[in-house]
Amino acid sequence: MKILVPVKRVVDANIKVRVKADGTGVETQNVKMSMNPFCEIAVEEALRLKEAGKATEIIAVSCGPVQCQETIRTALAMGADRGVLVETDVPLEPLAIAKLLKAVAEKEQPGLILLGKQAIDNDCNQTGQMLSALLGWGQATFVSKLAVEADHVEATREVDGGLEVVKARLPAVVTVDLRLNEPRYASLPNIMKAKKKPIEIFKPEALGVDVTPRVIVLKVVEPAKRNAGVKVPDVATLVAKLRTEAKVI
Amino acid sequence: MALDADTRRAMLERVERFIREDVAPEAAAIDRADAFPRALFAKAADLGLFALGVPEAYGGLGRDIETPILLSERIARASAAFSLSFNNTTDAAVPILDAAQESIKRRYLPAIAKGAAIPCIAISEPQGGSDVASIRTVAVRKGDRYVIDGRKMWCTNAPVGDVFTVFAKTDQAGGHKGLSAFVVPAGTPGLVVGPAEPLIGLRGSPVAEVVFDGVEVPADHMLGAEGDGFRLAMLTLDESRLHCAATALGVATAALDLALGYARERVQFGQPIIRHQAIQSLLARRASELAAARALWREALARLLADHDRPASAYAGMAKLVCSELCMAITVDAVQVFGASGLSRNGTVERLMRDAKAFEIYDGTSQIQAAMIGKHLERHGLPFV
Repeated sequence: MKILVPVKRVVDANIKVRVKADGTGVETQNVKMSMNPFCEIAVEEALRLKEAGKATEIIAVSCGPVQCQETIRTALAMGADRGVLVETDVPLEPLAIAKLLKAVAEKEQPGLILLGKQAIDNDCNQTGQMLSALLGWGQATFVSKLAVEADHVEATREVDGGLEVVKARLPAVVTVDLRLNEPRYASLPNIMKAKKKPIEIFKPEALGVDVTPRVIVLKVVEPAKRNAGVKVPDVATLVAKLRTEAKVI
Repeated sequence: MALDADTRRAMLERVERFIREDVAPEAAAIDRADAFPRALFAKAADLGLFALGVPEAYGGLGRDIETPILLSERIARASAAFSLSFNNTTDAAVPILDAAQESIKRRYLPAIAKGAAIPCIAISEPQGGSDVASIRTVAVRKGDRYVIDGRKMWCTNAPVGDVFTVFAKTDQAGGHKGLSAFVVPAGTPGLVVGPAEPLIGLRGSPVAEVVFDGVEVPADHMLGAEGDGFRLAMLTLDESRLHCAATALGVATAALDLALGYARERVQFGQPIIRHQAIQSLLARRASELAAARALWREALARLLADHDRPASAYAGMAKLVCSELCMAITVDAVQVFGASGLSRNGTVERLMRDAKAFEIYDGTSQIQAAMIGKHLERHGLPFV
């Protein structure tokens, strides 16, 4: 079974994100970019499935500018077998990415698509669900434990108030949560070996997908600064302030 | 295989993460315990850090001078002692890979690349370090073996060393031309490693005395031929000096960064102390000097890589001299900026100040650097293009 793992290039989790001066988005020029941490967990899970003999090949796919190759190389250095880049400079929305991934899935015919549940940049949490609907495959989202059997997956999902176990017939789309595993780091020898692994490059047009944005971003602003709190001398003052200033009681 | 820019960047980013997540949290504990960090060394080995200096034919990633030097600076920002453990392992393998017989290379280099064997060099003696011609340790041929007798001092990694490269006289009257080098595995009868010397800085990067008392090695353990010792001792000198400069720059950068952070936060007389001109001027000057030192180090590295000629050697010496002395000055200033907190053993800057002193001393003291640079000036003039 092949596993397709979409990986996204995002601003590194250790970077303090800044809003661009013109309010059109966040600054990504000269900012360290890395693989979305949830995608790392998806890659790790795929690698473990391959090591357990449940999968034969892992294909890392990324959609976006040419620099996304670096993100694919990271997946290859972790142990993925080959990469696919859908190259475009158009800003991609979840629906466009889901359509591109559907086209790649139709070419590659994977038995399982493993994705991060969301990306840490825009927190959309949509791509996996949209992809499952477009393909007409079953889905399991927010997965914190995964067992892959011959014709189905059994997935433990983190839901409000507990854990839910679902079964989905293969092929399926699974989006992974934080607690599924701890991703490995690529060793330096594997980073060098990754250089020799192939990356295929397609344009969205070649896949027959229209990626034109459907949503217009009006403005991006920084969160309002939170003012410093005050210390009150006693409970009576607190109650008075809650009543007269905060007007919550 | 030479590294392309993308692969090197990917490796540096990977190592950055290792430094942030594994080295930095251990740095204070390594200093306090003054013990070689075995577990951290093993993690670095898994990462492939020690494969960087070794050719692919022996299980390494290809001999690459630049990447380990760049990494030394990065690691030193978190832990100078661990940076030294790293670059000593890389440097100490060089005489073996340059001059050892094939069977010896096959025996030791793959283990060094994997981090399974720690190499170390025994060259300095009680009566002389930089003056290698005065070495008194002798190696006498006896049939198909050599017998080595003498005392070595300040051998980095000796207490944890698995394979020693020892420099000894095979011709006692021959001055530096009488010097030869031998590979001696730890555990060879007569090889005795003393206890780790307690040092004020770089604690956790152990140094010790090594005694050779009738140590016998097969003749094939000689590196190159009799008399090749001086060339081998000098082989990595310029590279080592740039490693030392890199480590000093890393420590200086960390110290200045900590001082700057403190100066922005610490409020006295109603404003952050960075707005007090005395502190502002001090930080501004030190940042400028550090920028200049970094530029010198980069140029020295570029010259070493492009064309390892005489001016490149002079530049390596200048970079070592300037970076190590600036590191000492900046770490002292950093303690000053922190005021009383700078003196606390619970803080970080005092460790950086203690670590800094060694850079003016090992791999040739500042005085030796100045003498070598001076000799170059006298004979060849200024090394500028």
